[in-house]
Amino acid sequence: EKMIYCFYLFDRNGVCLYYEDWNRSKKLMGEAEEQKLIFGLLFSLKASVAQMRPNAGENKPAIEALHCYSTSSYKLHYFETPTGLRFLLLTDPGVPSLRECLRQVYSHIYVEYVVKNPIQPMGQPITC
Amino acid sequence: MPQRCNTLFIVNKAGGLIYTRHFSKENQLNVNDCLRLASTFHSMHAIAGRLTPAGAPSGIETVEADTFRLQCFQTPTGIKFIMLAEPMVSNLDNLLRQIYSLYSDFVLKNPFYVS
Repeated sequence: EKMIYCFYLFDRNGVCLYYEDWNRSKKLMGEAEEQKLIFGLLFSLKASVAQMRPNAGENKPAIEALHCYSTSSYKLHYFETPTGLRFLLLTDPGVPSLRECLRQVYSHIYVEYVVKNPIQPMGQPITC
Repeated sequence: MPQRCNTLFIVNKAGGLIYTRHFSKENQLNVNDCLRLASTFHSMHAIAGRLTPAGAPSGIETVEADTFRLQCFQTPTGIKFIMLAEPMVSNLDNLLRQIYSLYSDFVLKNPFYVS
């Protein structure tokens, strides 16, 4: 059975602009602490992945490098825009890559409803 | 070792790199970079386990990137076997288990090996 657990949206300064969860059975720490931890983890993981790439991948942009990581209990899908917005989705490990889905969320939902919203302040949690 | 595997790292329980082997000629990281990378991965493995939304906490098993794939196998004793390979390689988990089996036979049973 395929499950989706949570969604995070971070801006380039580490501010969590949006968080949503479904079917989540474990919350091991407070929300703010978890957001900082996940942002930090992805920051380091992105840097390590950029370093591990074979030479053929050197000219490709670093934001395209990390696609997803899996553990035995969840899979984290990662999509970063050139402006530094990070879309994260945590799902069941059996799910194939949802990067395209995150790209659609960015272009059809975020850009249409958040960026084009004149009263939404940039860099603060999304309320609309 | 198939040509499409690039590097093998073995990390001990404390996070220190104990073995590196490069199988391809390209992107030979120098020793310091390998050490740093392995230790950083050890910490990230632990943090990812703490962030689990459901199920038993477990560390990173695979990382998929655009130009490579990383597979990690953690033994019950805390040793991590990390393999970097090309993205289309499958069955790395079995390969890492076989490597673990060789490690336990030849390294741990070696009377002169100091861990």
